[in-house]
Amino acid sequence: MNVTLTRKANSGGKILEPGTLLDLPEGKARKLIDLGLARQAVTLFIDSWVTFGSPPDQVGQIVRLEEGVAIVRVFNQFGGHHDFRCPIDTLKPIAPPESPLPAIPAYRVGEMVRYCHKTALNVQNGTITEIKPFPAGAWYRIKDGDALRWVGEMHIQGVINNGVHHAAGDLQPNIQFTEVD
Amino acid sequence: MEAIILKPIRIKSTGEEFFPGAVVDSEREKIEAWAARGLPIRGQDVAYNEGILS
Repeated sequence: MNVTLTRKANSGGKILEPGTLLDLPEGKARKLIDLGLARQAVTLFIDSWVTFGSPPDQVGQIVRLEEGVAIVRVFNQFGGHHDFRCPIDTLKPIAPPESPLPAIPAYRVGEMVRYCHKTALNVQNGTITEIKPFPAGAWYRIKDGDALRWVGEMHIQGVINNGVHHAAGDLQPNIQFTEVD
Repeated sequence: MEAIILKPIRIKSTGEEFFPGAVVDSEREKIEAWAARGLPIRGQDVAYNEGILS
């Protein structure tokens, strides 16, 4: 583990100046850090992937490094992110995660489903017209009368009438098919 | 080779239509060609297209 001395130290009669970079076994390095004699050297870079938290349960990517602190970006499943300021010595480097696969949609375009709108008790019926699969689950665009709403899979209670493609013939022209050989 | 369709597709030669979630069994070359065209497909050994999220 790489550490940088923060104070003058004596090693076997040799005086080491503050700022000296040492590669030490982790136990020794941690001891020096705990004693306030050293801090973990920056072995992380911008774009490095790290885990942090207690227990380490957050995975993020370093977007900025400052003196002893990293700004770690944690991405959510909706394409957004949150930035966290973390002391560098609390971060553990990891291999870049594989891109999460989108979930397999449980419902299909054209199916009529029962779904909750805004509250759990407000159950309505609508027909799926479009699907966007995300890693955490698919979102469905539901046509309910004149309204078109995006609804998460967890708010759909089930299919009312399977194979409703024919019954919902008016929706058929809206489905965008990609033609393949 | 089987692949899971994540976007509606229509096969020109047969006119068959597949909706998201459908499993299609076809030749590996064809499925790879669909993936290369940017169709979001999930299947063994087939790179899927992340553009679906944009």
